[in-house]
Amino acid sequence: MREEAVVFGGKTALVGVITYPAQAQNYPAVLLLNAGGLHRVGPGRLHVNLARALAGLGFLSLRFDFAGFGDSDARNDGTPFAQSIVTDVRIAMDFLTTTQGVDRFIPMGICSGADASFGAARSDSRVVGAVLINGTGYDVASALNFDPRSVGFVVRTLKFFATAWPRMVVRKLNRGAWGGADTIQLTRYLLRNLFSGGRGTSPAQASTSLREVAERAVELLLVYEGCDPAVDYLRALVGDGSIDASCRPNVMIKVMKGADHAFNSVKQQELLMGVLCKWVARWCDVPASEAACNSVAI
Amino acid sequence: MQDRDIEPFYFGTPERRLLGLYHPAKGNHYPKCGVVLCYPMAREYLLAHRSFRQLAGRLSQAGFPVVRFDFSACGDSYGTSEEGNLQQWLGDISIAVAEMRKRAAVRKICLVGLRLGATLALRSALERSDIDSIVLWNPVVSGKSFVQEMRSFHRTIFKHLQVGDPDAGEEEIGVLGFRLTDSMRTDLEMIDLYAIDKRPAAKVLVIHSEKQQEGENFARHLTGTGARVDSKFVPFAPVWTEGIFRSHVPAPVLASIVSWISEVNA
Repeated sequence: MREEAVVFGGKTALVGVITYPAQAQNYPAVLLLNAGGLHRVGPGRLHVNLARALAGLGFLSLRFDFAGFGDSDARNDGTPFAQSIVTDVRIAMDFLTTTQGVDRFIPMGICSGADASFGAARSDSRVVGAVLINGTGYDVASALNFDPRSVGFVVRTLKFFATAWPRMVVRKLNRGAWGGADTIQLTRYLLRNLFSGGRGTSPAQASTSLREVAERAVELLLVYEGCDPAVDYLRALVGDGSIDASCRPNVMIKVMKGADHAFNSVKQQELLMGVLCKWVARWCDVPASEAACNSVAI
Repeated sequence: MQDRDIEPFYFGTPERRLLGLYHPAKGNHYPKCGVVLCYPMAREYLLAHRSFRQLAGRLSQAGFPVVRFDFSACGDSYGTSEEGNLQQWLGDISIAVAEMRKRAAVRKICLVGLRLGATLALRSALERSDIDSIVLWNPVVSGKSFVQEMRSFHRTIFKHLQVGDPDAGEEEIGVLGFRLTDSMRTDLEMIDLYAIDKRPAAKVLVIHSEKQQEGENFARHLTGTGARVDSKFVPFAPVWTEGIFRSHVPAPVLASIVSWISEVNA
């Protein structure tokens, strides 16, 4: 295993690290995409550990920062975020095609990284597989908008009010500052959706997109943790019956109970790595069970 | 590459490859002082990354070349998360200082550290004789308190997430996605910066953005070693423990650090 720091993308320079396997294989390259605002190493260094586990299986990978994130330059042309991150995935694929001769790719991402992964799968035929972990559509609000009258949504909303606001008040008393802009913003979204039925990405639209990608025989892995708002997004994608995972062997859905949105626990990270390594084994010569075990051993 | 503000690279020995980012000094062809930034650890490292990038950019604009780097077994550097230890990280600072001298041919070195990075910067300066100045940003003064704080933060976050703590009951403690091995915990718990009785560097800045009294007390202690110690209190929320969906940059703290380094190198 060898790693190299790279800069690519021309005017908007993107910074990343390529992890090379000991022996080059003709496997698709894996792209590890930013999880929310965290830089390329991922939550708990997950992307670094995953890149090295994948190299052990023979996969080349690139973990890099989207424009304006981590060490990459900001894009100053006014491109909306949702579009910018998909553009960055394409730029990364172009870079690896030019420098490494790879023409098949598997983008993987958590949260907004999942959205970029999905966007790339929709728009670029070089994507042969995509991993969407706790994908929430294009913004938090859209995830919260789904199924606003479900029991789960109401329970989560009530829990949020019961915990977030007391914390804000305590903070005010201790520090003299409210400092809870995100709490207020989330409260606004939740209230709006609770009473008005939401306004975000249309579930039908998202579902159609997923079906289109699945019909192109792109291998899809959708990972969700049980209590996350992203589960509403999943319900929107598969709930209307248009995607029946059992009828589509190229779509796999994995719900990991006990995990949190960004996989903040060591144990859950190890389980996730096992799931991912087992899933990518379809492209390599290592048996799936062995691939999963190797991921935990690193 | 030369036109870029940042140059990423791997450096160090074949067994200890460290990810570094070099920020050349802007408009200063003969800089006297190079600045080496020392990140905090674990979850604090992730949350402080953006602030460190901006601090490096500000220092570069002020005419100082900067190297920031990931410690062994941290970030993009080589090694698994279980392999890191304090002695190795002190060695990493020496490797980074050598890299700075190689790249910018500077005479003086300033170390800037946050939290455990500040503690390591201080200990590195004590072990060496060529560190001219150090900036200690909310240093970890007591290792025991630090371990307790990390555990407490971990529990608070999981309570907030309402998913239970999957790492509870594990042999080695998990702290928000990072494994805290028994040996690391033992190492950390031995940290007591009040035991220092030797001058670490000629000039020291202790900067605190919370717990003003704590910072002033420690600055007073360091003054007793014969160093010129400045103490600054710049109120700002601790970016290294902010919630999981935040990435604040403490601009007033960064401005104070750049201002102090410029002043002592004028």
